[in-house]
Amino acid sequence: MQKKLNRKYFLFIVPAIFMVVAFKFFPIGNAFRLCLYDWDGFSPEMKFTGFENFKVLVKDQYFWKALKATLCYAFGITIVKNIVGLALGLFVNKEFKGRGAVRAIVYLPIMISGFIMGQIMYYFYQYDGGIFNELLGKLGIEPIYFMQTGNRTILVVILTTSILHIGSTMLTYLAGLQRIPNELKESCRLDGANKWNEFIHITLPLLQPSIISSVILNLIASFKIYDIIGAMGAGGPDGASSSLTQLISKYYFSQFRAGYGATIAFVFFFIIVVIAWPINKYLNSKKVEF
Amino acid sequence: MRKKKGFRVWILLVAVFVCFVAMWPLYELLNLSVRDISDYSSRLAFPEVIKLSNFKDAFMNKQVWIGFKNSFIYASLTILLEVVIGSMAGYGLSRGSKRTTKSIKSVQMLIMMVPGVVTLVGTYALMTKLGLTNSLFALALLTAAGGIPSCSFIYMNFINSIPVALDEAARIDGANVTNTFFRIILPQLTPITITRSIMIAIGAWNNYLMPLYLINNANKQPIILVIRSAFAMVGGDRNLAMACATCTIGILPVIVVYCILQKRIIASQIGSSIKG
Amino acid sequence: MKKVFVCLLSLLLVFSLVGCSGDDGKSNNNKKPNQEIKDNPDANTLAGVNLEIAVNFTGDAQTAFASVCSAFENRYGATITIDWYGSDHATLMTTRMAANNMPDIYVTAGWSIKKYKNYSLDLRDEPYCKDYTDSALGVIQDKDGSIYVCMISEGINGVVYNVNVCEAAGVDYLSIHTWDDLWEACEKIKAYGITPLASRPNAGLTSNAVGTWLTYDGEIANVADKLIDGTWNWEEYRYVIQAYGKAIDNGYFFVDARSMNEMDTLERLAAGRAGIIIGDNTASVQTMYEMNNKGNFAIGPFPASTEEGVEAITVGEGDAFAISKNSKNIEAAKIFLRYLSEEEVTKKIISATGRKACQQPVLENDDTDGTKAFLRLEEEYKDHNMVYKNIFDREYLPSGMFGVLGNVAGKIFADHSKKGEDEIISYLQTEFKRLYK
Repeated sequence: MQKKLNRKYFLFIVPAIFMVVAFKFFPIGNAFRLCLYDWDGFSPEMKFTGFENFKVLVKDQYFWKALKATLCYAFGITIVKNIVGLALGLFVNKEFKGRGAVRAIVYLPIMISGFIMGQIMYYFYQYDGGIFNELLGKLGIEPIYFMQTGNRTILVVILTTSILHIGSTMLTYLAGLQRIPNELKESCRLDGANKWNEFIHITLPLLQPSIISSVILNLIASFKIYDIIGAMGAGGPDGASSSLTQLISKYYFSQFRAGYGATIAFVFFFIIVVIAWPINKYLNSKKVEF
Repeated sequence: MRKKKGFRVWILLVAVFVCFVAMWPLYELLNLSVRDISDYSSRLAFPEVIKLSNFKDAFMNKQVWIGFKNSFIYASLTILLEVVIGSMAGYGLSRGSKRTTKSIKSVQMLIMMVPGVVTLVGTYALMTKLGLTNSLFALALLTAAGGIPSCSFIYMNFINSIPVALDEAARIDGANVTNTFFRIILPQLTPITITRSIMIAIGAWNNYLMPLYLINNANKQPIILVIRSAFAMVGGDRNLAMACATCTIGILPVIVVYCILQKRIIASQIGSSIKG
Repeated sequence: MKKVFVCLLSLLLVFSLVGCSGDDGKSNNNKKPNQEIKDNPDANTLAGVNLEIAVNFTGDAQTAFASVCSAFENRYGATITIDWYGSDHATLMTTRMAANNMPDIYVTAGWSIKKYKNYSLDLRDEPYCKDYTDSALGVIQDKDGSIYVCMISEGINGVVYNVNVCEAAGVDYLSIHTWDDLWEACEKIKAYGITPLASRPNAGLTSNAVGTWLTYDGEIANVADKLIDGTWNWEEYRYVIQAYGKAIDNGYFFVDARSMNEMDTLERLAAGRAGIIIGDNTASVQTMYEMNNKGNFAIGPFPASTEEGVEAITVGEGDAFAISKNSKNIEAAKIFLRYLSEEEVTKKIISATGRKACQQPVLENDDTDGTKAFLRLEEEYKDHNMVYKNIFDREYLPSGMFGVLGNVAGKIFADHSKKGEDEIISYLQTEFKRLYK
């Protein structure tokens, strides 16, 4: 009886398993298969080349540039978002009139596609006639060329993305803060601790679940950064700020190097797992119970 | 007392600053969209001559309406797929398996790590072969597949909080498992389903990478691609103001939905991060 | 709460049903007015036929093409499905080639012979073929005389000048014959206090403009044969890198040239904040007149690399349409192409795309800014040693090299020292070898 019932419940999971296998696991397998071919993505003939694509990849300067940029994006955005998000979370957790509105407005930019945001933000960072430089000019400061070097462009993208998408991180921390029992804070205050001590010894440790989920979710999401970069510096100079996602779609869809594009895609997935998985494990193992 | 007042001013300043930063890009979008093509004056100040006809022209563009229609279909299909399959899986996981949620969470985490571009690259050749490009349904399938793991997980957590006694009572009344789910459990899930649907819809509305490569027939283009071609600037007439006007109209539905439902959306985001 | 949800869900369902059936409803609506037009002899000759057309138009050109198509629907009773592929046209067409699922009619965007030849119908007996100008035939006629497209316009690529700025700075743009003359003009404009070049690092600089260094008679090098048989080692490309490198060092480009977008280049030239764009076309001239109708913009050829060399305008296929060999509606498609080459229709499209007409009767009485700029060029450069050539990469390079040369432009701006130069040359060698099959 019990067993039969279980099978019935299992049927409920079948569609989900099918979706995941068909559209997540199969593509990875297929991407790996394509790695072994020299293929343009459309012609019927596929030339088997074994691990030739991986050899090309090791020597491809654009791959290394994009890998570096992607790692910068992933960690940079995660760090900035968590610090600023925590600060904002603390802020909107305060009692003041209109804090609901502040929360809603800060969360608003997430509702708008990164592609559109990128298009708009371009006009902020323009060297000549851009909004920020116009403001600086009014203050009598020489214009800054925000996209001059690859590193600078990466920094600008990190800051922009973090600020625009800060809302979700803010809410994650807000949720964590709301969960902290007031008695704990009060007892701490009775012990004579100041605000800073209270934050370090009570708030931060108790926020750990929020920190874990926020860090890991932001890390995974930031690895996949794609649409906002397109308009902002377009991956320049010379591919120095292009993300791996951009590079893959460029190779696969624009340069007709499907086999090679799939190689990078596979390696990309592998890199995400290798980096994010241990972090996830480590952070989870440190979970405190309260 | 005085100290408290100073405190308030500080809060007000921060609040205003934070809101200002969040709204600035939208102001700029509006600013750029009411200009004439020959107006390339300061982008900081509002233009002296306001050209509202850009909006009218964008509204008259048939393509914008086709885009709205397709985005709507795409979002609806994604919601249907994700909510139905996700809630079923959530129920199955919650009631059927005695495994720890930990291993399920690990699988979910692993799936989340698969970037959309890998899905795209891995399925694209097959989809062209099967003629599934230019199909909003196929697009919805791919999009939903990305959301189903976390969706099931959220539903599982939610159903865990519904007492099993409810199922048992239904079974005693003679309902089978399927009936129990659709009659008893599903109605209980309404609040979470609504917020989930909103988030899925907005995600679909904003999805860029997948439609960009999967949809190329103009009659199937969701609104984001209509906006993209407005910004693409190919051909004789390149008009930034028109592109911005099209863009403003394109994001209007999302903004309106958000304004109406913001309380709910925010609350659900807070709620889901507690559960997760 | 339950009711809200039920309502929402049923609304969704209703909408998606309406949405799905929307297409049918539309085509029905389209047919009705057609049947009313009885006095038009052509009406309904194509009733029931549905033509699928893949195009790369956006913006105004998109609107113009759409209205042209609906006029066709009204006249002949056929229905038309348009695929607006925009800037992804080439990519998406390639995937459709792979699936052997070509639309009935498609824009060939410059590749009517090299890429689409085996998929397209030979149209050489069509009436419009006798009207082509020589510059057009040079681009679209295959060696065996086949013509695979109905081309209604061509792209004219060269150097675009803001004449007012040039004059104010004491530059006579018509006296520019060699690249050295051009750099001298840049120096003068710079001395006048304006950034000379509004170009940004793209393949316009490193591909479209390089013919006068590398492939024509009398120029500093002629590697055309080696390019075509794939044996070139790209050493001579150093002339190009060095010339641009020097221009960058001299401050002829904008500081932010690297991150400018296309709109910015046009805006700055139109506003008189720059004097010259290297590697742009008549379409841009048209946009600039829209941005600034008091301006004075002219297009000239790419300068020669030596006194004996030729100045060159590169001509590209503009709006050109081919018919799929496997189309089920070949006759209807042919009628559509004849319709496109009617003067009124052609004019409507090219006034939006800003390109120059390429059929004699249309060219003779056309007043779009694109054509005007071309006629001005013909007039002003009569005495120059000037030739019309096919676009560099389409003539000499394997498919894919255009993107590589775009990368090279970025590399030149990033590093054009001796070391950077060597790296670029070796990059070009590897990529050329890979792409040349």
